[in-house]
Amino acid sequence: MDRRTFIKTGAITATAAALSVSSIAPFVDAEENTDTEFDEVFDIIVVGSGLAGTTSAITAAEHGNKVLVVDKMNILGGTSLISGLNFSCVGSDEQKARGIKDTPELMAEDMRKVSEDYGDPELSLTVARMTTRFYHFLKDRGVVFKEFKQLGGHSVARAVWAGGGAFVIRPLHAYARENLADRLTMRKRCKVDDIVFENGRAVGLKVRENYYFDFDDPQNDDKKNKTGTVKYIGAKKGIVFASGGYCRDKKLLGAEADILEETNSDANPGARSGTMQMLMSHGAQAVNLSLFRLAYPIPTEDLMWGMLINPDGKRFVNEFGNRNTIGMTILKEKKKFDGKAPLLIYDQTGADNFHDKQRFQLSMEAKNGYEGTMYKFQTLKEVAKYFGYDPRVLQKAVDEYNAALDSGVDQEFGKDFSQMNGAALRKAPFYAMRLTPKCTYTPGGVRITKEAQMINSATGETFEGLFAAGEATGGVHGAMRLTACSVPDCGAFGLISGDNVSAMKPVKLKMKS
Amino acid sequence: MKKLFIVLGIIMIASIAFLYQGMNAKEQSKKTDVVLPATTLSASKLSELKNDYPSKNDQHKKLGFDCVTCHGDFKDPKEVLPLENKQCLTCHGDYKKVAERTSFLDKNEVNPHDGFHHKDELDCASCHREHKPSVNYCANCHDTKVWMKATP
Ligand SMILES: Cc1cc2nc3c(=O)[nH]c(=O)nc-3n(C[C@H](O)[C@H](O)[C@H](O)COP(=O)(O)OP(=O)(O)OC[C@H]3O[C@@H](n4cnc5c(N)ncnc54)[C@H](O)[C@@H]3O)c2cc1C
Ligand code: HEC
Ligand code: HEC
Ligand code: HEC
Ligand code: HEC
Repeated sequence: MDRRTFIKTGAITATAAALSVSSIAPFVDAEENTDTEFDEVFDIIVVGSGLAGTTSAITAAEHGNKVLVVDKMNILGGTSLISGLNFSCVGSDEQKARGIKDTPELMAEDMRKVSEDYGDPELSLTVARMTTRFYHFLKDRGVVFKEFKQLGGHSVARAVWAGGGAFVIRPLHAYARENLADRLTMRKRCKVDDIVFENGRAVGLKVRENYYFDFDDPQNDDKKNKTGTVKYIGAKKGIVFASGGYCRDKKLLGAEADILEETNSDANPGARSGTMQMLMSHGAQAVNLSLFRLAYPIPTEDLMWGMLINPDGKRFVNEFGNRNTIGMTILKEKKKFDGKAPLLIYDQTGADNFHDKQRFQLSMEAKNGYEGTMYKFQTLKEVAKYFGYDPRVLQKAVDEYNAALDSGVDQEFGKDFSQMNGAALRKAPFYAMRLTPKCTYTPGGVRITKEAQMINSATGETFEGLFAAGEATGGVHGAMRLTACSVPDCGAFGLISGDNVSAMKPVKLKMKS
Repeated sequence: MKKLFIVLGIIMIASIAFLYQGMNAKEQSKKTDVVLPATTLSASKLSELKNDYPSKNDQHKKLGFDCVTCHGDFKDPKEVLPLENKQCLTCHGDYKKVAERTSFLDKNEVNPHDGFHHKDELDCASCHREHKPSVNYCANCHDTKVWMKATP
């Protein structure tokens, strides 16, 4: 047996030994106890390993604290890891190089324009003001921005892009491993179940280690999953909740607005509301929970080149309408058909007309998220067969659509046919996909001050020792979070929470002997 | 005493791994006469457990691995955790080697063992399951059948 085998042997034996203590029962009830004995104690605990949590944790560790990051999932990084992570930033080198004049006030104004006056303007301004610092935070820690973009809703070009979430999260995690290993620990499969308070101050967490998220029944994971071993972990200075949004929580979304149950989502499979509900049970104030942000696998402005029909083969909406109207109409239509999504069909001319050819390509290669895949067919019969339509029904729908195009007027839905640039349903091959709006962001969440402190709804005061950052918070964006503005939000409140939790006076905590 | 058994078991695994490393996959899958490591479970309990936790992995099933091969010794299946990567890799080498076996998926950046977002950070058991049909973690967000076969 060589040395390597010995090491492996040791590791596996250690796992086996750990198993035998796993049945030891928890010793206290979190709420009532005032003298908890902890299994482990850190200065600061950060819940969530996405962009907000990672930023907060690195900041706190760089202030010299011993920090623990926990994440309940089987992989670190949350939604942030798979997100596009386009970043709206005032004062980037890219803006400077192009002589673009921009101010935090202008960016905050852009954010407020689409907020429909929901949320707190002061928080938007705080976000915009922190973007320059966050930009350098990322660059100094290994993130490389590859592109600079002008995105919709922004009055100047200000979005930088690193190539996707993996190109932000992976370098940050690598940076932490390489430079902060003595102070910063990241632990996956560690689920936070509750907060330990002592004399009104949050001093620790009740967690379960070796937690296995239930991918077979994700909707009930928060309620029914019993995996893992209970542990109590102390936080001398405080706790930051960077636990993300609840895009995948159809129960909560459905309770807020019936049709939202029909949305898809590519967010982290663990993007659910259990953590927020736990915070609310301690009095945290949650705001704006009924707001949502819809998106399509392909850009709204490229829907127009095609025809959208329901499972009965009938059109039901103007494909050239605005994002939310089309989205809500599709969701209502899905509800009518037991959740069956409508079909979007293009011909070759329609495909050639795409504004965003890269998205089209991603869709053809199944790289465009859940049900974002477009399929190619030589005949309409093949389309019908693949998607389960009666071929005659589909042919009739196509004939009617082509006839309307020829007449130049869309009697039924008022689509502006003059803009079609030859797109119809005539020229093979055809391209088709089911189309369901995705929920990609939940603007609601726990309310914070601009110092990232969590607010108690019962007292109206802040909780001592509790902070929140990122999508877990509510009220930063209002109705329609502006494109590429979650990153600056995660960054701003990640940095602020990291600074402020570091400045807390530590409490003395007891370790289990 | 129990510890000794575990260590013994592990030595057996190590020797399987050793055998395995000397061969390519095709040859290896023909090899079925593997010596099983020891367990403290009674024979009757073991056969009961084999019914409750059958293997769904064709190759593993052929090789007839005992519970202890993968999980170490245990008294109650409640103590058992899904395997960690290092336990799979005792036999399968390292993540790189596994990724090479599916490197035909590299050019599309969809190699499940070295993919676009996750690289080598996913646990094997997020996709390969032993006692339940396997799944594909990527399928939480992608139509993976366009890319590759079902997870073995
Ligand atoms: C497809 C897609 C594209 C997007 N593109 C952009 C874009 O281009 N620009 C932009 O600004 N925004 C974009 N967004 C939104 C943005 O990605 C997210 O809002 C942001 O990444 C959220 O980061 P976060 O750190 O707050 O949360 P997350 O990254 O989701 O991290 C939260 C983590 O907390 C963990 N957690 C939750 N509860 C617990 C618990 N009880 N115990 C332990 N751990 C827990 C979760 O498992 C998760 O890993 C996009 C979103 C999607 C889905
Ligand atoms: C080839 C390796 C292998 C062998 C042999 C094996 N298992 Fe497993 N076992 C796994 C893996 C991988 C998982 C996690 C995935 C899954 O649930 O299938 C697992 C999970 C389990 C679990 C936890 C399941 C849960 O999620 O509740 C139990 C219990 C278990 N095995 C018992 C057994 C028993 C009993 C035997 C012998 C009859 C056995 N295993 C043999 C690999 C193995
Ligand atoms: C005791 C050694 C051993 C352990 C432990 C082990 N395997 Fe295997 N596995 C083998 C052998 C031997 C084969 C057959 C040869 C090959 O394909 O590599 C195999 C085959 C496979 C195959 C191919 C199956 C097929 O039908 O093509 C997969 C997938 C696999 N193993 C995954 C895993 C995973 C995941 C784990 C950990 C949960 C694991 N193995 C643990 C020895 C092992
Ligand atoms: C994201 C899901 C995923 C993860 C994680 C994953 N696999 Fe796989 N694995 C697959 C799929 C899918 C295939 C089959 C791909 C194909 O042939 O098209 C496969 C194939 C294999 C094979 C057979 C390759 C062959 O020669 O045909 C082995 C062995 C294997 N995996 C082992 C592992 C081990 C060990 C791990 C952990 C280190 C692991 N896998 C992690 C999805 C995964
Ligand atoms: C939680 C959701 C999620 C999971 C799980 C996921 N992806 Fe993705 N993936 C996405 C989204 C969303 C995009 C599109 C990103 C964008 O908007 O540019 C994407 C894009 C991609 C792309 C295209 C990248 C590009 O820009 O060219 C590849 C390749 C990819 N994923 C591979 C994988 C593989 C392989 C797995 C499994 C190991 C996986 N993904 C798992 C959400 C996910």
